[in-house]
Amino acid sequence: MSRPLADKWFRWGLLASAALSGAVVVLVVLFLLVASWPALADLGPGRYLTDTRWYPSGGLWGMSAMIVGTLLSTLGAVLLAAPLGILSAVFCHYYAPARMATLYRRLVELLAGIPSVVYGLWGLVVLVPIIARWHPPGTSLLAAILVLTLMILPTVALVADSALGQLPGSQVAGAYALGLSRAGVIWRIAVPAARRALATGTLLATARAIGETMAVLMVCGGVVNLPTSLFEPIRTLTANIALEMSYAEGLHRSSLFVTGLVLVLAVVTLVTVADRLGEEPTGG
Amino acid sequence: MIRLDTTGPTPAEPPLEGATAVPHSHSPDSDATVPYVALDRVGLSYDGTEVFRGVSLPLYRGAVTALVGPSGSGKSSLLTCINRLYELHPGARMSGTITVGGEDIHGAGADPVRLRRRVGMIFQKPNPFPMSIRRNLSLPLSEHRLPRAEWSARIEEALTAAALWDEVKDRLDHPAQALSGGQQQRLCIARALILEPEVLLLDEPCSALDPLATEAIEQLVMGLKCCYTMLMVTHNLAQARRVADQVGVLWGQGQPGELVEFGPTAQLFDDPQHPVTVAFMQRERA
Ligand SMILES: Nc1ncnc2c1ncn2[C@@H]1O[C@H](COP(=O)(O)OP(=O)(O)O)[C@@H](O)[C@H]1O
Ligand SMILES: [Mg+2]
Repeated sequence: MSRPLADKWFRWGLLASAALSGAVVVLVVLFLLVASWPALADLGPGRYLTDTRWYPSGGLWGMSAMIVGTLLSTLGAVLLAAPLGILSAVFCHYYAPARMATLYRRLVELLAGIPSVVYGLWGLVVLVPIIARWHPPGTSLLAAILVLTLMILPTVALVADSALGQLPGSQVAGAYALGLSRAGVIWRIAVPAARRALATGTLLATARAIGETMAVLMVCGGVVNLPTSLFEPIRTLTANIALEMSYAEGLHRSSLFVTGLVLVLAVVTLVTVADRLGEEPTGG
Repeated sequence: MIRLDTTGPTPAEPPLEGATAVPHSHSPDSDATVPYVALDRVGLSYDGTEVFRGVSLPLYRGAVTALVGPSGSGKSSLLTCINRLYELHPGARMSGTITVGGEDIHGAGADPVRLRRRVGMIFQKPNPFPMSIRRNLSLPLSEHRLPRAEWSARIEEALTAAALWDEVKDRLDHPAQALSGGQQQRLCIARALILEPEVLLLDEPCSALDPLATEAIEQLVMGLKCCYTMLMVTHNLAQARRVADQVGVLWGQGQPGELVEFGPTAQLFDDPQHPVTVAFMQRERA
């Protein structure tokens, strides 16, 4: 095959796969909209957001307790994982001996690859009993936060590690030549220079935490409850779908799709913000 | 106060006029026969491999010393000995002694942070930090805990001394990396000057710049001569001749570099003694 022809085929191939992936996303969202339409039309979007009570058999469809559950578990996990991940990347780059840094990177990559159900299993068998001894019942907002933290920590750490690695050696040398201490180089130059990438990584990890289903489902308790303490059980939006989808019908089923729609909207918003952050020109 | 000669050569001024923020009890007087920086049989190795050895070199206040030689002979490494930057490489070992203002840089109580404040360095490739022009300059000030009230005056002073103030005074908050290469290099010079060092190490500061920017840097170096002790690595012999008062030739092909010849610029160019120097001059001229 001649070069230009191969080139043309390659271009068409790329275009086709891009179009296909785009179409799939649009179709999924469209499907969600169509499937949740009966519930939205019947009850109106307001009903879902204002009520905390979710009793499908009693005709109560309030999702706000689950929205709060998702937000709190995600927020808690991000608040723990972001500083830990960034600090571990800083350690890896500026303090660890080369051998240890390599070993550590392999370990983090491995952590990132563990299926979420395994994290859930660990949470259920190890973490929940510990929390239960301290403050029953054990399955709780706290357990969800801790398991989610472990799950998104590798994402933050890997992104932070690669972001810190972007700083050219000439700038590091220049900083030391000005009499900066190692801490000065890290906190005055390396971290500020990487701040956009760090923010993007944190947002992507947040999106992952919002969407995580299995691990959270296994440790959160699954009770629809507006939590007033870390030790109370909760139910997240994802858990709600997973728990009830198998038997839901009619308006109930449609309401679960509304749950899905809210999740997709939340994740799309986060990813868009992450993209914006990544694009902005450096300055300031 | 950043010392800068604007009126042409002035006779021996007291070296510490304008009380710099840097304490240095051993500063010599303006006696031009006492070197401000002295290297005594200095050698360096990376992971056991010797880069250069036995280099003894006096650097005088108010003079530019040029260091020339083929690439790989260890010129950049030699500069990093004087501000102890070589210590960033875990496998690097220095031998011999270096004194700055009479103090042994490895002596008791010596500390690299204080040393690097007294010995500024300009790199081959301009290396401004990825932040605004102003932040590039205030960063070393805040690291060394200089009072915030002084910052803006010091920034203006340093930029003026680096002949950059007029070009950037209206865009101090713009990213430094949007400046041209020559402007970036002058910003790096301002960043070094803002700490009011006594010694400046320049590692081929013009090698990444066009002829016009090169001339601007050369002018700048000549203007700074009065008040600093400068060591400049260059591969441009014509530049060494224009700018330097004394020249050293570091030579090492396949073996550790050595300072094969050292002397006043005119003598070294008109009447080189060492056969290696003669050959090097001829080859560079060709
Ligand atoms: N960090 C380092 N680790 C090991 N070897 C190095 C390092 N830096 C420089 N070298 C070696 O030291 C020698 C001198 O390098 P350099 O000082 O950059 O020479 P020059 O500036 O004269 O070109 C070269 O052979 C180079 O490979
Ligand atoms: Mg060099």
